Amino acid sequence: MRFLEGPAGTGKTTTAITHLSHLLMNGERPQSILVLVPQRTLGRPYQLALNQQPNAAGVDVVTIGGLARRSLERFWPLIAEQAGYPRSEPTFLTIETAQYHMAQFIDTAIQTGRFDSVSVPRARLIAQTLDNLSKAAINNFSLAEVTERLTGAWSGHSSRHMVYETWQTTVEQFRAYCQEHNLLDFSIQIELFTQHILNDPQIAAHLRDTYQHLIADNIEENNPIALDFIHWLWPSLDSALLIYDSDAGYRIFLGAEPEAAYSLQTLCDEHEALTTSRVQSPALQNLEQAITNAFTNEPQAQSSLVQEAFTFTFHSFYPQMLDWVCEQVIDLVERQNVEPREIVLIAPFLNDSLRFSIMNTLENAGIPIISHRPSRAIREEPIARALLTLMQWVNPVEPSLPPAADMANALEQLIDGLDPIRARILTEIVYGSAGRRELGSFDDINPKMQSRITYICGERYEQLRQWLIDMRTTVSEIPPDHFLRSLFGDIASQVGFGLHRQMDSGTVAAQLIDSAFDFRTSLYPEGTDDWAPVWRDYRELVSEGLLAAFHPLSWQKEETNAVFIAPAYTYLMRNRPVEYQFWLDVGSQAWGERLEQPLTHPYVLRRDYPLHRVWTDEDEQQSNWATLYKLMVGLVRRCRKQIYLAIADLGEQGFEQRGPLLHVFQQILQQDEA
Amino acid sequence: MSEFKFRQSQWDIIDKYRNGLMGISAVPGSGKTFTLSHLAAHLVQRISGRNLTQEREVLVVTFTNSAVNSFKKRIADILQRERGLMPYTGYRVRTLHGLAHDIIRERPTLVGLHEDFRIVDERVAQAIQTEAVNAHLPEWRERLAWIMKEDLSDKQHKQVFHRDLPSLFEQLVMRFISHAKAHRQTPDTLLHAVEPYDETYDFTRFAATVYRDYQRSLAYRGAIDFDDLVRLAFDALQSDPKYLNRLHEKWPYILEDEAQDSSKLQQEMLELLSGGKNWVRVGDPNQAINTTFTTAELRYLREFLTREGVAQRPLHTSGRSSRKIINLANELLRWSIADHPVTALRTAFFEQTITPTEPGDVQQNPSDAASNIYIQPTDKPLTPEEEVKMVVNNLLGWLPSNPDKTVAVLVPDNNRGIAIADALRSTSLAYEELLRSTAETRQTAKALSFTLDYLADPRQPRKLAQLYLMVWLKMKSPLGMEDDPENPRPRLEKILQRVQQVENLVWPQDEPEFDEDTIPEAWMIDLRAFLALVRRWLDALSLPIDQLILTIGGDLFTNPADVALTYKIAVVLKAIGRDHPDYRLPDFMEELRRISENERRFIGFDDAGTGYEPKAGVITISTMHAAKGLEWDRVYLLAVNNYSFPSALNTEEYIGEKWFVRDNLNLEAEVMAQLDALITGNPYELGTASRQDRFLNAAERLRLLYVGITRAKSELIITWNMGRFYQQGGNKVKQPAIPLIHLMEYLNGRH
Repeated sequence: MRFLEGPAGTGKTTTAITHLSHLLMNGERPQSILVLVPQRTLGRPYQLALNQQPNAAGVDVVTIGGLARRSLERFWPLIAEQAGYPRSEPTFLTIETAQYHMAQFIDTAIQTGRFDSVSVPRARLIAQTLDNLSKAAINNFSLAEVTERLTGAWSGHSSRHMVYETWQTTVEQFRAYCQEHNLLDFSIQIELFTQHILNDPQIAAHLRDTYQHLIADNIEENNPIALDFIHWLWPSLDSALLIYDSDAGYRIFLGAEPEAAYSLQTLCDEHEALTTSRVQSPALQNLEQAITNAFTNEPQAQSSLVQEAFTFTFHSFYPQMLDWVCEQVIDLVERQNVEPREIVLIAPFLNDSLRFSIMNTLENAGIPIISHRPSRAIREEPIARALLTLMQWVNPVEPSLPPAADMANALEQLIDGLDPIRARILTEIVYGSAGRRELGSFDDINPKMQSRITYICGERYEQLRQWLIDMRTTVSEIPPDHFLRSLFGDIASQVGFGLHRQMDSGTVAAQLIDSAFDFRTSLYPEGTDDWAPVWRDYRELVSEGLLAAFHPLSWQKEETNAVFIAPAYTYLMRNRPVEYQFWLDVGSQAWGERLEQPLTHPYVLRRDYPLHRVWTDEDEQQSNWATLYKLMVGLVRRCRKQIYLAIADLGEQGFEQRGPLLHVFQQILQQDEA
Repeated sequence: MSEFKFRQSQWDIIDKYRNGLMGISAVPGSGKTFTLSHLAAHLVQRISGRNLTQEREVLVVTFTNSAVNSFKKRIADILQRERGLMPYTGYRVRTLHGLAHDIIRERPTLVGLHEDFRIVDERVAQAIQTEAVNAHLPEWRERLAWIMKEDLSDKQHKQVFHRDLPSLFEQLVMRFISHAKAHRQTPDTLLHAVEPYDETYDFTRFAATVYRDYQRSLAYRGAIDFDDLVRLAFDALQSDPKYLNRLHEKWPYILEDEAQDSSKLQQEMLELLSGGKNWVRVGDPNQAINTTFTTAELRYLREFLTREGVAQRPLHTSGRSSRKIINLANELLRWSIADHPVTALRTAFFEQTITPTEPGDVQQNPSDAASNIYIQPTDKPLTPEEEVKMVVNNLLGWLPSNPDKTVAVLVPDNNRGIAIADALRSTSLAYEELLRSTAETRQTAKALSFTLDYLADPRQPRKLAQLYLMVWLKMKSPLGMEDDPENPRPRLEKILQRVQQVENLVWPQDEPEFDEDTIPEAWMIDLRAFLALVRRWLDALSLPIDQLILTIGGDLFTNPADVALTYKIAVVLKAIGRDHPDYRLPDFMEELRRISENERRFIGFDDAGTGYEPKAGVITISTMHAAKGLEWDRVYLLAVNNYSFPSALNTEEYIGEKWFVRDNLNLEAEVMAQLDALITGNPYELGTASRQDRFLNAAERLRLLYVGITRAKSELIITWNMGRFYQQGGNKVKQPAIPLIHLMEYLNGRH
């Protein structure tokens, strides 16, 4: 029973992987080993190591959510009835499909004015409602306790109480609906796991028999029920290795409990702290000290080295700041021969416009850059829009036809060699400017126009058109994902069409097909007589951005030699030190500030927050400063050479910026002058 | 640092102020902004501390965005140049709305807002209101028609019923909502309060109904409007007293400029934020010229200036104008207070005389020898056209021989300004307009919109030609637009306009579209570069709207302010696109048009933040309102007749009293009065508010005249005209304004 702690970059995970190999080499059954991680991506190093190991198949590398789901799949018939669910195979909801089902209940609440005292767009209400449910589950709170906590912490106008009560009645309706239709969202999966799976003597004994060895990495990021589970499993374990990263605990907003995790060390008989192999230069170590001084308000003599740890410039406008960043990156790579992978660009938020501006400039300068945004709406992808446009056109129950501009885009995307102007001309002739139910044939066009569009494109168009016309007759009979799959396989990926040998677009198409599959199987596990309305619902949801996020397959690119641009926490969780960090938009208020969401509260919905205690501005400030401190130190510890601070007086929306990070650096500069 | 550049009264303020309430009543040209900037810098230095979590700032609140920018810059300069400190830190300059935005932005959930709540701009707000008005109009129009005059002809009746009434309602509703929010009244409270009243209150009932729909519509978008900002900031501060406490610590000093324009809400907000402690208010009650179209109320500053416990540090000395002009301004004041024929107007001014500087002062008044005042005599009436012509001719004679002098033509409203600009355009004289929405913003947005216009339908040769001419040649091409006879531009333009197959020009597949040998080599190379850019943009068409805009903007603009504006437009359009998944390029173009007309409202993207500086030899055309705070050697005041400057006499016409409304009622004033009555419980009587509004309006116009006069350093020319409808006779023939007649007599008596 070992407890291993240490900051980033000291080789904790490497130690754990060695331990894992030892277990296997000593002949332990792979099935007896459980590797528990707080998020799937953090299990990646273990998966890679296991792939290279013979006889390693069967080791479980999972999150607590994954474990819950797997157990429910296996033991459903044993617990379904006592949990009040049908015995038949349940449907597991993704975030997207859970949102879809939740929407109807939220809509009712909005229409009856029960959310009038908050001004939050509908999609956000849905997301926050589900977020509260997850928080309830991972903390093992009842729904009533969530309401009680939120209400007890609120000091403002009493109209908010109704909002919290509405939340509760809404999710109760949602739960009843799920129970009736045998649907399990994340929160229900967790609840059933803790309340039924682990409490069923037969299943419990089985689980305890199975798992003899536990490796739990990044326990500081894991949630309370994961920690509960470790306690539950503990007495029956033969060995355990718990790993705690001492500068992390960044997922507090997501329910992490670093202190509770740390107290697990009392269960262990071996406690090891790794401290060596710091990556920081002396200047950066000094900067870390200066930051600590600033936060503790202890003015201290400061080494002049601090100045070497960072450099900054002040710009009036946001895009000027971005230009400066790009210039510096280009300079580092081209003139100072810095490896692109040694540069990271960090922003408090990374919106699409920012990401696009930077990536575009650097790519044009020939500098490889990757972004690790976890997801974006798939409707933003041109190829996805093209497929959805055709889906809309083909489906007779769609209330309207796609606009001509969309049809032109679809043709341009799908037909190789068709440029935007010719696509527009072709569309105008065969589809009209207002759209038509019938697509005209290329053969009927007058020869002059045929030659303008070019015969080769015309031939391809004809092939696509014939396929679509054939497809039309079968809409009711086949599910939407089948349509997308055939469109991709029969046409789009063939020679002469847009997706032929286009890896990136192919990935987008594949994910769109998957999301249609998930949608269909979660809503209509038994199938339906008429698929046409399902096509329409699916397409509408995707167009509204509610369904189907696109997850770029970034892990393969992970190891490529490229500049990395990411939101601050994404970078921290990735845990890879670099030589140069660029902190973008240092003046932004968003550094160290939690997301403000009226329906939920990351601190109040924690076990260690006292019930009925009002959350005041003082708490807010304290937690913001504490978060900022942790964030800054975390970043500085992951930097080897220098930090570039990019500051713009006016933020991207044109507002003057005086965020807290700026104040910290002012303090540091003032200390330095003193 | 030297104190010799200050006069004693100024230095007393800067150096001696430690804490408490202070009121500075300042006459025109007494250097109040200068003094206040130095006081701010002084205080910034005093509070600069070491404690990270107790970061402190001097809070400066002023009235307009341009004042914010110029204040910010002035204080930064003083800190950096005169005191060797870091600029832009230790203080914050805001308008009331900007301040409210800061307060909400930090804790949005306190008022039920999400992290990235949106503020809809005025245009969008108006569009939502119009929609709501139209939705209710069918059931209300008949009910509200009693307000129309009875003696309208059938034709007039029809026109008013279908055209004038709806537009009047829109205007009413807009004011009503704004006013209701300023008094922090929700639609439900108002609808409830109005229940017991008869049909005289129908307008209020109607407006409150629209208000309710409007708020729902905003909430659905997760958005708020400008008026909500202040209301919600109050709510936030009241929700969490500890938040307010922290702001007390954070802003230990509050300096307020242009306090005469302060609304009740602003006063309450600053009172709350200062905790009644360290608050310095600077203003000139005699320059309060925004009271009738905002919710500003003059009595609050006057009350403050005479309140016990408020240290009075008046600034009465001014070196701006010649003694002659100072005397004229002082006489307007004296006469209004003592002798105005309409006694109700005798309170329009606060008694405070401008004193010329002492010998040895840092700023000496211009000499009387070179100073002239001319007023267009009563017996020489001019038509509006003649007036413009006379002023232009006068400038043509004077400006060429006085290239080192600054000069302004000041008008009561934008339309007169446009008439002057039109007349000056055909002369060789240089001029600048300080009128609504300046040329450069329009330029950035226009270039983007020409580009989108072509991209929305790339088959159109005419639009391609337009893009080439208006965007490429104007902004990108080194070849430029010169009109020498050898220049092939006109020919090329024609060729582009008539191209048969645009696609073959942009993506050639066939024989060239025209004989390229007839075009000089340099121009062909340039054209190919243009077409390459067009291809790039067309390929970018499938990108999300923000990325498309950024791509185009990145290719077109180099000026940082343009790039910043493009970036902001991209972010805003992106957000709009998220709410409207069905939007396509033409819809975004429409939004772009709206944004470009309203962009400066809340944003620092103008004139590098320094504010407007009159240039020698260049005529400034401005409204008298926009001229506040500025000065010129020579000033022309136009249209000083009894229409633009009425004196609350029955013989005069009032802008707020519509010709088709019965009993000379001013509907806007009536509805505001009803609203006030509902809020306060005071009695309301139909018609009283309309009469009262005449006095308020006339008093404000008197002060506007005072502002106009005090812009002149050395020479002042005041003219008036007979109005646009003088041919209709009767009271349509406008006369010189009553105060102007008095000033003429005063000058004649003196000379």
